[in-house]
Amino acid sequence: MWRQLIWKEWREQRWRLAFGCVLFGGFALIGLSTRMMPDADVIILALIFGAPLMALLASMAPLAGEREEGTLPMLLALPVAPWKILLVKTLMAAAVCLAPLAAVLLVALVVAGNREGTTSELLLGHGLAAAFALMLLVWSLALGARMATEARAALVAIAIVALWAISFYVHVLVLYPFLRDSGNRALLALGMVHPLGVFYIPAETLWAFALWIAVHATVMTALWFWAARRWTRLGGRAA
Amino acid sequence: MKRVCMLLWREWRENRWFLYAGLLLLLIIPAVGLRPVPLSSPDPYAASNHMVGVRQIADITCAFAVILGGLLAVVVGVAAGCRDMRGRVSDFWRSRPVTLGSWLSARYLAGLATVLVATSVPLLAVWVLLLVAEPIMNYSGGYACANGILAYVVPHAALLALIYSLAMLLGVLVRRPSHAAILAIAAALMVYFLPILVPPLGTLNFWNFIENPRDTPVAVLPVRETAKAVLDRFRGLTFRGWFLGASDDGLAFMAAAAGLSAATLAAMVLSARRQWRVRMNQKLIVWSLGGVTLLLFATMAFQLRSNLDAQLRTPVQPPGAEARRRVVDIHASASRGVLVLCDNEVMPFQNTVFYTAAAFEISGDQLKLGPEIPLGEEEPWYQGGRAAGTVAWSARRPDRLYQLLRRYEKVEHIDANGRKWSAGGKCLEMSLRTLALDSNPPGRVVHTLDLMPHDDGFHCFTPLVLMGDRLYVRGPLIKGDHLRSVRCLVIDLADANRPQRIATVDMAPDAWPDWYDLGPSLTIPLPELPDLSPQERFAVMIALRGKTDHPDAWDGNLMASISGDRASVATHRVTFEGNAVHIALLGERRSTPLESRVGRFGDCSAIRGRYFYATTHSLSTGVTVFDVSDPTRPRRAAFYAAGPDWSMPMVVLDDGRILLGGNELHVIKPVPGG
Repeated sequence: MWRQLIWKEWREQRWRLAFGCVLFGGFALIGLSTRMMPDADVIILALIFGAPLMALLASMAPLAGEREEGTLPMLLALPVAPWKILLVKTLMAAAVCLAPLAAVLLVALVVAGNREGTTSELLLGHGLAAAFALMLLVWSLALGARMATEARAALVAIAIVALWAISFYVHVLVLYPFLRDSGNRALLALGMVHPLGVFYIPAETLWAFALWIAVHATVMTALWFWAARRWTRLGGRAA
Repeated sequence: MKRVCMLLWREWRENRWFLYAGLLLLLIIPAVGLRPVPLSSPDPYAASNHMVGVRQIADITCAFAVILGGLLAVVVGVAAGCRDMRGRVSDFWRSRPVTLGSWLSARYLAGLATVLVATSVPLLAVWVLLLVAEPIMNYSGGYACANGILAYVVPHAALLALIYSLAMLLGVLVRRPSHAAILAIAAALMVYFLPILVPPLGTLNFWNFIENPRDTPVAVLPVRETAKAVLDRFRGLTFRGWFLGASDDGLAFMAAAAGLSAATLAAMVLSARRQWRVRMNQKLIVWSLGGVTLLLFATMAFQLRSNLDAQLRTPVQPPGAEARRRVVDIHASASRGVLVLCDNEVMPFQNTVFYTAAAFEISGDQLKLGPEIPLGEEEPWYQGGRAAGTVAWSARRPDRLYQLLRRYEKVEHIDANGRKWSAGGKCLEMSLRTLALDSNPPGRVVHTLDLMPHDDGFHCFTPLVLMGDRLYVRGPLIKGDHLRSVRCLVIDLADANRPQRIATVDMAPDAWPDWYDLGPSLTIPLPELPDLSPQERFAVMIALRGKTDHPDAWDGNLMASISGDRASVATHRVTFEGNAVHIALLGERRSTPLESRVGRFGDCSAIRGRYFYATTHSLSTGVTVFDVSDPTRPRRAAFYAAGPDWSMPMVVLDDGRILLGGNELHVIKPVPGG
């Protein structure tokens, strides 16, 4: 049954994956080949736009798309546990998010490897972008699990990004003076609670990275299980 | 007629909320910034400070109109195109005794009037406000000034009409508001930005009218003369000035926009008549938007691409230095020379910096740096104080570095219009130090020559040029509030360890024109520098000008210059007639709309053989190389992207390699084929 589920999701989502790879891989290729701006700027632009956009595209379709098309009851009628269906959808959506970022990384390594920046900087940047995309994907899936249309699911994802950005701005204004200068571990740990807190970790604080990963992996897991309980509801009643 | 009126009434009822929203955004919200203004003050600058509220209103209204006007046109157009076009409502309308053409036309005109009134009325209101207020204010300029608004208010209306027409066409074709809106926004972005990226479409480039072409200074007037000045301004406007922004570009733009709008309207009526429909789905929209984005980016990238490589690109940190340094000046010959450095974290010209120097040699892909030589502190020029970063070096005396030390006080003058201006700083001390580069440690002061003139009034902004066996120092001589002369000190270096001032040459101010744009031709007298041929004197003049932000270059054969707006490059023929030089324009190459949008040429230039090199501040600062082998048609040949930086010094070596300073030292390979 896994194979059939994977095949179904691949057929439905492959165009999004192809779109992301072509758009962002092409952007990186053109920008890095022509060098009209610094390599770091090209890559950062590709990641800043690519991560949230692909997460938004990938989160719209799996659940809300089934509701909008009216195929959700048929899907739930299959002799397979709903959590397995959700798992396959989540994994395929994750692939849709990550494949374009991988395309950008590949282009950057081939065209601009060690030219203006080091390979480790490239890998770190892409790792952070991939983590952000996965977080946004899981949050959007969880909060948009009962959205009736793809447009509404997309609005949920946009609202999440906006809330994160605004709250991070406030977080930076309030905590930054203490984070940077005091070295207070408790304050730094508090900063790791925010999904974007990783962008404000002072250098050489590996424990803060580990804490951030642990916190948000736990949150994402909890959200996923919460979504697994909720997504089967059909118009106000559980399936 | 009655039916048309009924249709228009009905469309007004549908569109009035858009009009109210537009006027609220563009008229009411900016007015929040209005503050009580005292209309008279003995201090002209106090009046301008109190007029900040007016300036704020103008800036906000103009920005909103330009940015949100297109969005309003999209929303109104899509609404007009999609409304009543689906299902039974559409059938109902088609069954009414009104023709499809009149129905669509009424809808089109009502929506267009909504958009134009909502955007143009606030602009014209601000225009009237500025007409009254500008004579009291001490500043006018930019797109948010009276003359600026007049330049683009009508072209802006034509642009919005085009965007509205496209949005309505898409609404009629797609018939789904969300999809049509997305496509209409993409179309609007193409209308705004494609003419910038594709030069043949430059006629449709709306941003030309947003530039600041009419930065007419407005004299500060007492209030009693304000009314007369306002009336004079109204009377002075011609028909073209009132309606067309007084430019031929405006005519061409509006003709093109009107033609496209008419074609779009015809297509809309045809598609409605024939029930044409484009069925959009998410996949089609996403791929379309992605394709357009990639196309625009590729067009932009291939115009601005970098096609020069660096032989060497390295941070500069001399032995013993505790941190990286910034290269602020380069003196080089072959593969060796001297770098002038400062702290990489401090921005010169705005902060006090400590300058140092270091000898360098480039060997293959390696940069060898000598120990740092302290030169001294330099304060920002507008504060007065000390200046220590001006040096000269040449390969003829590789072990000697000549440093111009100054101490000056800032002086301000008041002109006849009551405006303050500064000629830089009045010199209190000026001396030339000879530093030994071969001493241990390097930088030992071998000799100090006092250069202070016997009469006061010598002002700074003093470039230092070393040419042959002579040093030349130039500066304005100001007494009272007038520029009396331009003084050039000539220092002989026959004895490298004991420079001697051998001549003081004073020239009338107009003998040393401070030109920015040379125009078609220009004849100027040459400075009476001793023992130099006319060509050599001209070379000194150009070199001294190059040190004061006038990036001209002359190789003894061809002269090239960068315009005052730093957006074009021109070539000139130079001929000598007795004691004068005649400079005639040969060719010019203006930046494309995209190039001028993303950057300007900098302060350094050089000409070698068939190429003219100019530093460029763009998305990525660097060097632009122009092929001037055909002087009548300079063309862009190459570009090197140095990365994010500013104010980069440049030297072109005889073998074609380019040395570029800044955050790093770049050694750029010669232009291929050069």
